[in-house]
Amino acid sequence: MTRKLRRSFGSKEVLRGIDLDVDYGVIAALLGPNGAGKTTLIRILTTELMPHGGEAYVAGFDVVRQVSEVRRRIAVIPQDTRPISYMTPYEFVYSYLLLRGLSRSDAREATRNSLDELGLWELRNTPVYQLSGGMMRRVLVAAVLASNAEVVFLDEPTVGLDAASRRIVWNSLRRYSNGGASIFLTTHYIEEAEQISDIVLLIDNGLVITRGRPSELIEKLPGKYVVEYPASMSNGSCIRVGSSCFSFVNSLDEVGNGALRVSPKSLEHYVLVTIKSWGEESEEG
Amino acid sequence: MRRVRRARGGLRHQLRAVLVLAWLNGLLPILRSPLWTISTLATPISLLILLTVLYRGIGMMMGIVGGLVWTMLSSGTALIADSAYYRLELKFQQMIVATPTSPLAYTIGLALSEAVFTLPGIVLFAVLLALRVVIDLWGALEITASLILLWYAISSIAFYSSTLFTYIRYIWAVVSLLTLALGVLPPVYYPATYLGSAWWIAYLVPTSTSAMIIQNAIGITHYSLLQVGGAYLSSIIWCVMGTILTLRIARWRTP
Repeated sequence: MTRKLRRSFGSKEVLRGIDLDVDYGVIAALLGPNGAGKTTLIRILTTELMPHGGEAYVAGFDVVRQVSEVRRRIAVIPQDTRPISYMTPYEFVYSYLLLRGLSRSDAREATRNSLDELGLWELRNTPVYQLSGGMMRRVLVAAVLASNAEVVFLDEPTVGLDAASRRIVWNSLRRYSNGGASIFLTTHYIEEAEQISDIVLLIDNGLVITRGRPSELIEKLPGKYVVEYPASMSNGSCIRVGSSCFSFVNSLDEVGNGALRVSPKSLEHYVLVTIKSWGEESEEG
Repeated sequence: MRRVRRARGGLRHQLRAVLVLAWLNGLLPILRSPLWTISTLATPISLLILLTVLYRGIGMMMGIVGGLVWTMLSSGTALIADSAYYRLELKFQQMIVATPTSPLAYTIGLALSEAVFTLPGIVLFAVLLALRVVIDLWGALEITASLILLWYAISSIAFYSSTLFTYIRYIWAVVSLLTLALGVLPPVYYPATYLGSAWWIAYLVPTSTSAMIIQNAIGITHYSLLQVGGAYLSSIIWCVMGTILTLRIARWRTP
């Protein structure tokens, strides 16, 4: 939970008063454009970065005043993390668990289970430098999910994963959250957020601009389909987003000439339209 | 419902974390590639050979003492590079921040891992020293104490220094300059008395204070009791400074 959370870097205010609540047993996806403040928020919640204002609690503990309590209950994969290259997946996960304070027998059992679940057991003795980028990401996910932390933070956990690997990670995340843990992840893959998250938080320019279940957010868009036209064809009923213009229709019969693409409305459309509208309101404000 | 394994963070855990880090960053890479540890010996052995060829007996002794100090120094410079690499490139430190492992345990663990790395070098130079001079128990204790003080001081300062970097490529240049400033320029491979009235400069860096103690313990240079006492005091001050600097960043977080 955060209240009016603020953080600046020099004169630039990156978080401008973030308010959010995430329950236990929930996968929360933080979406937003580059530079929106997602990683800064994760760094504060994982006690790596001090906030400059407001409050933040993780698992019920203050991230500033009760740091050691927070650190016992969380696990994180920061953005662009890689496992240590000369170690094997088994060694990396096992040593991470020992550093988290698990007993050796618990660490051994959890390492085996987690590597198995993420399809890495056969590669457990292969040096990490011989693994593909996607497998390296899975080693990190295996380490964090083996920790059995109450709250897990994943900053873009599936970057570089192929479709099959992503499904493996998604299944593991779902199983983990079903056990009662909270998972807080950032991603640029909107379909990923749509598939696995229970709640989506849309962040832009240092503020949470909207939140809700993916299906609820999609339903906020009018019509059933989104028709994309070239931006040059934009008119009053069409919302310009980048080089396209979105129009919402209830029936395919309403699709006009010159349409580039027609698709059922989705979370991606909602995110694009909301951030576009939010940006315009901010400029006007 | 999942079985919650609550992470522990007491003293026992911190001690174990030190050993885990020493294993993963020290023992494991040595076992995977022993060439790494041999490569750290290249410079001190080169200097030992050069000094022996140029100055025979006394040159060899100075080369051995310098080799001991240089090897310990290299564990500090390696620590700067490793901890910066873990923080800036792998983001491993950020993963460990979000665990019950304390920053002091992390620092000592990495420092111990570097000591494991340099252990073959220390053993080599210690054996060479034992072959060349007879060292009594008191002398052996003095040499051991000075090397441990040097290891602690240089490691804690190295860890703090590593947190100042924001870009990994700067490390390489800084490590080279530090090696020059701490291993070659001060009286490590030569007696502080060569500096004449400016001999006290040796107190300004932990490497030369350590060299002073060892040179005096094996009798190749004679310093007064006051000078040796000053060397110990200087070493201890460096250790205290290093501890304070490490604890200053004990919150593990960017302010």
